[in-house]
Parts: sequence; structure tokens; C-alpha cells
Amino acid sequence: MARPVPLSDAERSQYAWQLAVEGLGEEGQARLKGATVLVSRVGGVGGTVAMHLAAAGVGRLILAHAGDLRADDLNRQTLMSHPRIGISRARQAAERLQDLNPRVEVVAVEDNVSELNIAMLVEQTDVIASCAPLFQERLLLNRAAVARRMPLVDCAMFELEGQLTTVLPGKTACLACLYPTEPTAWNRRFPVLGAVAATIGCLGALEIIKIISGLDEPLDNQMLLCDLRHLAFRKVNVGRDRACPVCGEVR
Amino acid sequence: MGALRKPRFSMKIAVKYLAQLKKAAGMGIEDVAVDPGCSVANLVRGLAANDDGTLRPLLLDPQGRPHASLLIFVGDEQVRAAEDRFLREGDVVTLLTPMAGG
Repeated sequence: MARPVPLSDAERSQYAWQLAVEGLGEEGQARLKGATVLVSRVGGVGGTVAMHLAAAGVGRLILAHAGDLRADDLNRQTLMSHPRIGISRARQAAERLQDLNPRVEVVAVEDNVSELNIAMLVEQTDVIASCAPLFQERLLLNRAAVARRMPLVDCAMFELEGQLTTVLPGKTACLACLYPTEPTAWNRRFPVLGAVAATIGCLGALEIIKIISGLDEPLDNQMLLCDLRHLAFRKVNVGRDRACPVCGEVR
Repeated sequence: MGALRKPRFSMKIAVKYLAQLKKAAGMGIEDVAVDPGCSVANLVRGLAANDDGTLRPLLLDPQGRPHASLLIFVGDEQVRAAEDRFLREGDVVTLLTPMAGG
């Protein structure tokens, strides 16, 4: 994890409301300032993760998302704006976050995470936010996280349900322990309500803030299941697969 | 009426379907009667056999085994289909196909 970076007086003033949070304080805030988070996709889930990490003062955000904004993205991708349909989503997200908090460095990568760019993307990253709509991307991020012993927070949703889990390599189940192969029946076009995506994104951001700042313990071999139709939250226990081809040998 | 619900079966469990499975099953939860000694893997095969075809591709791989990506919980504990975990009267089994993004 990155080293803490001392706060300026202006930063103490900007983050005054959260410096009073038990377990965060100036030390935790300094850790946030020193950290870099890679956010894979800045749609409804990842965009919300990125927004709350920027607001909280995470020092550096790398946003990876290919493609330009379409009208039908706007029910959930709240870092974007209607007049900018047709313009790069990564760039729009980065500009919005810089407006929100100019003290944060935001790097826009106008491409999705792939075998071609992942080594470069994770090189200076401390924590990964996994928010892509494709399992291929999630499993690739998982392999990179395990290889570098880097925490990964996996945020996902479907219709009015969501799931959240945290991978702490060598300690918790990795994504390949949970689903060693891509679910074959997953349909790229699935039902998404923006408020559901944002709820999962907020929870993911909170999990990352906990990991970086140490303000409390993240999920530990657990998965949070959210039924937002009935506002029911449930934590279930997951376990490492000792035969996992990705993390089985990691101690 | 599918195989799992025939009267000869004597043990009642509940099956909760989440996400894609809930949509495919058309319900969030159902009571199912199974034989004593029924394993989690057999339950999954039975549910796939009962179904009108929409659940099967989510539950089973082309070889008819519980899909490797299927997440199974008995109570709040994850169970892998390969573990041969046997079900008990009153168990609540949650089935979930992983979700992604949004």
C-alpha cells in the first residue's frame, strides 16, 4: 500500500467533515492522499465508485473505459452529461471528477482493461475497483491483483440486486475461487436501474476507503448480497479454493 | 410436477434464486421436497430437470454437471457442488449466478 502523504491546511479544511469519522482521522486521510486506485469502467457502478473516491480525497485515480457516451448510458452514468453525447466517457468522467476535487489527480484511459494494457495500468496502482460488465475483464483484473498481492473490490449488479466482495490475495477467496470460468449465460445487455448501480458503487467506494485508510475491516471471505427490491442486505461466507489456478499457491 | 416434487420424497428444503436465476425461475423462493441423502449437486440437477428449459443453461454445463460458475450457499455458507454436501431437512439453499458491472 502507498505511503501516507501529509495534508496541507487547505486539505484539512476541505476534508474537515470526514476527518471526524472514527477510525479515519488525519492519518487515514493521509493514506487516502497517498493512494492510487484503478477503476475499471466508469459506468453506473464504477462511475459512482470513482466519484466517492475523488470526493473522499484518494490521491490518484486511473479510469479505464473505452467508447463515447450514448443517450442510453445516461440512466446510470451520472458522471456524464447529455450535451456531451458522442464524447469519450473516460474523458468526461475525469473532467467531472477534477471539477469535484481538483486536489485529486485523475488519469483518463480511453480503453477498457485488456491483456495489452493491464501491466501498465496496475504498475502504479494500490487497489483495483472491478466494475466491468464482462467477466473476461473481471477475471483478468483478478489475476493481476493476485499476481501483485493487490486488493481488489468486485462490485456487481443485476436488475435490483447487487453483490460485493473484496479480494485480499493470500487471505480471501479470489474471483477465480468463486467462479473459475466465465458464466456462459451472462448477457451483456442486462437490466440496470441507475440507483441500484449507484448503491453498489457507494458500497464499493466505502470498501476501498476502508482498505486504504484502515478505518475499519473490509469484507473478509464474505460476499454482500443486496436485494434492493426489498431493501434486504445479507452477508454470506465464501471460501478459498485451495486448488484455485489463480491464487491456490498464494500464502 | 417435476421429479423433485413427487410425493415419495420426504425431506423439505427451500431454494432461493437470485439475479438471473430468479428471472429464469420466475420466482425468488420455492419449497422443494428431496430424498434424504440428496446432495447439493443432485439438487441442482433435479432443479434443472424440473424446469421448462430456462434454468438448465444457468445451472448445468453442457456435460450436465453443476456449472462451475454457479454460486451455492447452504444457509450462509458457500458450498461447492463437487464437495458432495448432503442436504438436511429445513436447509435453505441459495443459488446465484455471478453478476457483473452496471
